[in-house]
Amino acid sequence: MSAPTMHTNAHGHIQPPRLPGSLSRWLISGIALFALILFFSFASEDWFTIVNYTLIAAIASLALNVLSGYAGQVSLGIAFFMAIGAYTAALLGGARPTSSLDLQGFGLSVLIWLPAAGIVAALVGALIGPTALRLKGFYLGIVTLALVFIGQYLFKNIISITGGPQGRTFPVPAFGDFSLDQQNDLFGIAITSGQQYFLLLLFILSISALFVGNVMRSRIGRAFRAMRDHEMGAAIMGVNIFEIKMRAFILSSFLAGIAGALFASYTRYVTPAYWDLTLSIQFVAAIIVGGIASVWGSILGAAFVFGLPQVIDHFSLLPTTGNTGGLTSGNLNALIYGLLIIVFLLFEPGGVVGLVRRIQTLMRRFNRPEKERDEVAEITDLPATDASLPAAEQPTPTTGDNA
Amino acid sequence: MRTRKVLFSCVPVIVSFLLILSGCASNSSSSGNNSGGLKAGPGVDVKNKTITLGILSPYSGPVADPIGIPLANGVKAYFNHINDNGGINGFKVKFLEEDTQYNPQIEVQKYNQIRNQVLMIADSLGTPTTFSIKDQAASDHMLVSAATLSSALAREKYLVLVGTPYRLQVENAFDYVVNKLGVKNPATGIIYQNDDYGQDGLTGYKEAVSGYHLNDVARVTYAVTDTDFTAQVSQLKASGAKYVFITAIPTATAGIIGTAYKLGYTPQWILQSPAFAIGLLAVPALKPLLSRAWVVAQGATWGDTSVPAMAQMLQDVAKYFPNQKPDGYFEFGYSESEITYAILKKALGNNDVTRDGLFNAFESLKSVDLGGLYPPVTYGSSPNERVPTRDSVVYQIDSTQPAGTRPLTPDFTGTAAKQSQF
Amino acid sequence: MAYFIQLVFAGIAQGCIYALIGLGFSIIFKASEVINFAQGELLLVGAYIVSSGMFEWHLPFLLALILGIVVTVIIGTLFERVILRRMIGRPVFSILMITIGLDIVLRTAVIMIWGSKPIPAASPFTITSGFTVTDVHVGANDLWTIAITGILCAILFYFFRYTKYGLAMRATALDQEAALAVGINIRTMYALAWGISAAIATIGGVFLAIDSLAIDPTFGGTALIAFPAIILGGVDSVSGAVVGGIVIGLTQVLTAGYESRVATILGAGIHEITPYLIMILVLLIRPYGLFGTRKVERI
Repeated sequence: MSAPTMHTNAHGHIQPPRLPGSLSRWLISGIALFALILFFSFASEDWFTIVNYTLIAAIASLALNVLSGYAGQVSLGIAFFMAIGAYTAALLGGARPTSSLDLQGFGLSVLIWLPAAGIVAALVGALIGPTALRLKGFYLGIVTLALVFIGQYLFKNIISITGGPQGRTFPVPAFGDFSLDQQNDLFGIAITSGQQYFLLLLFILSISALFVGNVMRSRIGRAFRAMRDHEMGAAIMGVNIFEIKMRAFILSSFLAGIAGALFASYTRYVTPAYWDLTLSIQFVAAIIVGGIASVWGSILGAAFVFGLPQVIDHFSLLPTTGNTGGLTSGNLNALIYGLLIIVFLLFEPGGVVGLVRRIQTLMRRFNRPEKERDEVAEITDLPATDASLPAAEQPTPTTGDNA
Repeated sequence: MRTRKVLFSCVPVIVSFLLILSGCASNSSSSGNNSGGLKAGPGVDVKNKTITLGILSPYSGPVADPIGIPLANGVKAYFNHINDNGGINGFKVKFLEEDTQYNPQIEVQKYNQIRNQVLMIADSLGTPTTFSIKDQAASDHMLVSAATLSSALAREKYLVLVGTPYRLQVENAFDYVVNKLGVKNPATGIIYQNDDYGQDGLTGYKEAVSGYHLNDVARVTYAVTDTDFTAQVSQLKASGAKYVFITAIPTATAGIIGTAYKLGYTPQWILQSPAFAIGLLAVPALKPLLSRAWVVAQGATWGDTSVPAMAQMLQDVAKYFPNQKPDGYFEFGYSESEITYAILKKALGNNDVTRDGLFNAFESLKSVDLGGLYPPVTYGSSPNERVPTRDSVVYQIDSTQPAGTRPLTPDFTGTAAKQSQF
Repeated sequence: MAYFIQLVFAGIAQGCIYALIGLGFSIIFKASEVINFAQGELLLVGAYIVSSGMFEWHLPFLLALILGIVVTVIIGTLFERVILRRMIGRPVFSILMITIGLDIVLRTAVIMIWGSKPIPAASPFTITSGFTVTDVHVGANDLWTIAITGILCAILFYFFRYTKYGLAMRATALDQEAALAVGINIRTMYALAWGISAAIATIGGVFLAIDSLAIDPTFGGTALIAFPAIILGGVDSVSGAVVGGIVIGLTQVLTAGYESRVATILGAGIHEITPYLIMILVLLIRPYGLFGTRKVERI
């Protein structure tokens, strides 16, 4: 629904357009902000670690959703683009080599290496994009899988940049003396490293989410979805498939590169073995569990796949020790992870977001039956009193995607 | 309508409260305090006389069963024994164990989870994982006992290394061949796993080649997912290498040695310590082949009671971990704890069990006697001094022994290993 | 020269194993358009059961093999019936992910039951069984692998071309609605496809295990290489899977055999990615693989 217009409902009353500044929305935003401030001020450092990793994962999930969820390009290669971003960051931001044995680095500031990580990854994405023109579906998926392996081979061998199989350290975002990996004083208040990263990551995630959300609401977003749903149909309608596919790859790779750089920076030390197929699959699982083609779905999915296992571990419900066989927390986590994927796909293919929407619709039905039915009828643009349908059966809004 | 919105908005508030509560809870359980002249850091409970140490090890995943768990058991067994016999100056040692799944990201998370509750990390397994926390540990002034034999860690001030690095293992093995067995200029080769562990072996091999004038004829690599080793073994065979070093994991070792035998190639195999697992001797086809191979490792032979501390260790195994089979990693962990004990004892003697107190104790440790399980280790402040031991033992694989190996040499340090710079 | 022939022989044998795994993928894909990511783990479970059968329950090899096949067939058909049945009509991505979910569950189950230490692989041969001819060792295992692959292909060929069920499966693969219209029971076809695939997976897994002498829970990861194999040959072509498998096997082993000579230029481990490089090359020329059928899109 783009511009607000005046509706006439079944009873002939004119409904005012919905303004963004309704009271309940302000209330929710206020409470959410309050909760965020509470968390920020009082949570302990280990919760910050879990949340920060989840935020980074959310950026990458967003990237994958752009490519696979909105644009429908099957991709298992997100680990590769993340790695490109990470190593760009390392090359540009890493310490300058002092001897011939040291790894390459230019010692530039985070304001350069972080965007550069995204840009270089986007350039690589632009190179890969044209393959998507020739290949569809499963074939494209396997080519992206091949990218991950080829990437690992390259990273293990370009030792001067990546450190080879032994890995390397990654630069920390720093603004002059103000380095994010130590406790600092900001206007007289001491804030910890976790808190600083939290602010930075929240900022980057918010911008990315808003940007992606906006794009998906625009003409380009509709073109993405049209192409995903029926490529030939979209082409006939005038969508320039080449241009749209390139856009999808470039945007997705940009975000993935940024996420990769942030991840490597936060972990400090990463070996090439990290950017493997398992990582890509985790993100695919994240967008499926969270909700395909949905910004909130990406974030929630990342929370489920990357945050939830750590949360379970944190509350130590199961012994970590013992032999690996049997029910240890590690095995149970893996089991839950696999079962969650299966269960979600079986019963709620819309992911958590789809589940929430389903609950919303249910609650709407029970709360205000008559008024809601009119609203429901409005949304689907069907007349409230359709003579061909019995009065009690009104179609519910389909769980299509939202931005 | 309103009820729904209120309901949904309560959720983030409730969640935040829960997080904060748990955060407060975990924060308050740890802070040390000063009392009666004893300076205490995090993880030290002066009232109840306990010291909490952390263990960051894989408890699930492929590294857990062969290495992570036996090692952690060894770490704990030693202190179980100490605790039951009065503790260290009356202090009992408790452990906070976290499963890292051998994943650096998870290790970082777990480290952050426990860092305010522990005085020292008594066991951090793995090179990439330990690397990912070393900077944070350094800024926390937290000592980390690194259960990894990577030589790159010697430069880190706050890492307590235990055992001879892989690199020196390779060099010692070839010292045995050239100096002890008197083989001049042997044709040698190496087959190594294509990851960080394999790289370390390769580095050692290269140093050994130049240090001992070896005739380096083959360097072959394999991927962790490879199951067929015909190509690699054929290369080795074609090169004519008589002594081949294997830096691999047990399943790959099985494939390499088996395939070689099939192709009629029987060089002298020298295995890096993780390349051998006693489970390999259960593979019927493999047993006769392995008994001609050597393993370079360290540590007294399991069950050799001529070693002073062995009897105690065997008792502790029987008492605290009766299901634990003879395992070199258990012995490693056990000895690691002996070093931790020495650090704690010295710190308590100095009346300073803060993090800095432990660090000072560590740097001034000089030499620690490990009761013969491992040769005495020495520490100091320069990178070269931080390498605790440079010696190895070359074992023959022997299925009649409880741990599957029988020493061919006493503990020795080769010339190249002595001179190796870190 | 003997070196080269040895590698070729090993490459063909390895390729036959990839072909078997690829066949498993291919049959399921042909019948139900599903890519079964869990094929590798079915392989794993099969190999583990056969090993347990031989070493823990002291069954003779053939009996253990049959037991392994039975168990994996049950798992495969159960999964298809209980879970995949409900996924008909859902997007490809979702179905792919659900098989990944099964993959994770199976592997965790293996770890929970057997632990993650390596266990010996069941083998009816000794290491050296086979014969040597002019410096080239022809292992019994490799010979049997090639032979059994050939026999299985012949059986499948006959099955698909001349038997009632085989024809029904091909009909289902071509056009489900038409098949329904002529009275073919689609459900049985799906179950059959999964059952056959599971059985082939176990056989392939056992051959792979014999080669490795010892197996651990990461064993299933090898199945990934079957993807380039079937893509190369064409995802919906049975003969394509075999040709693709052998090409990939040969490529991998030959590259591994000569790579140390070019290590200074190409670095280490190029044999890990040559299958994927070849696959990409083929796809650039023929986007549906060597023998795959070109998809005709109808509006």
